[in-house]
Amino acid sequence: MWVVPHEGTPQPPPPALPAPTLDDSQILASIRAGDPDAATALHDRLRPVAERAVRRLLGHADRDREDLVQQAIIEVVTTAHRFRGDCPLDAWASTVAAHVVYKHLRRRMTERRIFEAWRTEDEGTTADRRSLSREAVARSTLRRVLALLDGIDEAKAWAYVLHDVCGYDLKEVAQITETTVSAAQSRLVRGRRELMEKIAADPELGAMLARGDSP
Amino acid sequence: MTHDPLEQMTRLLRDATADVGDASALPPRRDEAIAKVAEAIRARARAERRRRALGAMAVAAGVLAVASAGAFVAFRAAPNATTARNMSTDLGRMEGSGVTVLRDGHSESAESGARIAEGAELRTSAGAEAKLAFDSGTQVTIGDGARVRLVEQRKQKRFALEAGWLTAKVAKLAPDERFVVATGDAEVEVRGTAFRVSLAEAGAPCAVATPTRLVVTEGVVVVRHAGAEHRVAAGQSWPEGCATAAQQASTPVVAASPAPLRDAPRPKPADVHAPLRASHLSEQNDMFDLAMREKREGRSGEAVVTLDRLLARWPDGPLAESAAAERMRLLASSDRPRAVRAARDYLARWPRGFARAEAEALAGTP
Repeated sequence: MWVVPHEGTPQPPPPALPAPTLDDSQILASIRAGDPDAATALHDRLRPVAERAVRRLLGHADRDREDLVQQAIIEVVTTAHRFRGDCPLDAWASTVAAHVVYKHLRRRMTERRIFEAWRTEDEGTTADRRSLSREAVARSTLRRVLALLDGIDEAKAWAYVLHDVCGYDLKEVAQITETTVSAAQSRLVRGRRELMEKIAADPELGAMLARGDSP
Repeated sequence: MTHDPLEQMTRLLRDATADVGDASALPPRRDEAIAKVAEAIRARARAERRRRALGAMAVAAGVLAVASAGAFVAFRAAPNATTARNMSTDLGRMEGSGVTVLRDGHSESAESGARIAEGAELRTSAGAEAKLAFDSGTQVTIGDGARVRLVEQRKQKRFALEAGWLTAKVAKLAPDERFVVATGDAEVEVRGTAFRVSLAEAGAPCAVATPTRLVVTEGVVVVRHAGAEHRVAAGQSWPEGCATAAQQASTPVVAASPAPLRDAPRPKPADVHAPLRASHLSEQNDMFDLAMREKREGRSGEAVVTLDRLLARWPDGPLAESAAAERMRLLASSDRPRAVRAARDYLARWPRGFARAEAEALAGTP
């Protein structure tokens, strides 16, 4: 149930990427060979991937977003020797970007909550897609859900968010959160259990979720 | 539509996070970002060059240390050869798993692809087989339950087979190269061939008193045993008739069988060498005396090589501990890192040995 992300969720069509002048293997070979001419192709190829990963975890308007996207692309360069080609370059870059955000949020001592941005995001982004009243209900439910996430251990919350919400697999979650796959799995299972217990203890939230689920 | 509240909550969060807006638009400061990425690529290349240079320097330092210890040997063996030629190494790359590497008194599992350094001892577990592949094309397969020491891994490759079996397919050697496998009582030397050496169990029927069994599949191999040299050609075995007799008696340790001999009882080193000690004691004494003479004459490098040969041929012989202690002392004055390794090896093997205090001082352990 949780393994496949975005099940039933309408996804916006992937934006058209700028046509790369080099394919992925050529880009990686150039990086490994130390050819700085590959910078433009790498940047234009990975920027949208890193941007999406950063925005999902940090929001649209975060002041550090631009820097983090750039940092993520640079991190792809510095860790190129670790990329073995056993997953698409997009997935690798997305994981690297999520790791950069993870480290960044953990450094922000005063603002350490996950999805902080979603509490303060301006409401214009989604208003076009929903009626205002439904939007208001959704926002109210979201606020309660976020408060619920705040109530569980941060490591477990990260495992749940990265795996179930963002769709990273366990290996990627382990890489992002700098832990082992088994520890990531354990955190995920315990995080889900704690969230279930908290939802069960809050019938009002349960009702709100049920209402939000109806078409 | 499901009413699982956790799934509903997850869906709500996915909706919230999926709406990331237009992420494909290139940023206004694109050129600046690209310049930073280009700088990161250059920095990575610089770091890689530094890492390689440091690695090369470390290798060069190690090679120089080895050269200083073995300078006399190099000049005596090939007076016109350059030092670099004598120092070149071709370390075997491990293929396979289930191999333990003992070195410097420590043991660790060998990873596939790892280069195995000179002086290491390889032990394969039951049912495991490992292969050492050299850049020259030479391949050494180490059978299950085997113990093999990589005594020397330079122009001269010398292996000491202490238990089990190994097969070797040796690429054509240059005139100054040698490939030798030593067992407790014999030396097998080849020049571009394929063969298999194994140790038979004690008391296996054979006209020649030796546990060594050799089967040659390609080329010609020279066996030195009890002061005599024997040429063994492709299709032949040594000692003659022993392999066949053992095969007929279904003794599984006979080298002629190409399959790994997994259920064969492994001879304990003491058992294997016990009947041979008396007959070879004078040979061991001569070799030890030669090493001491070389030491007295200031030819430390040669003395170390002689002791290495003694230890490779009689790893469990009565002079093994003395030879290991002398080797450690000789290295202490010429090659500190190797001396430390020798001290650790000594302590691992003879934790209460007579040279324990010296070894502990060298190894830096209390």
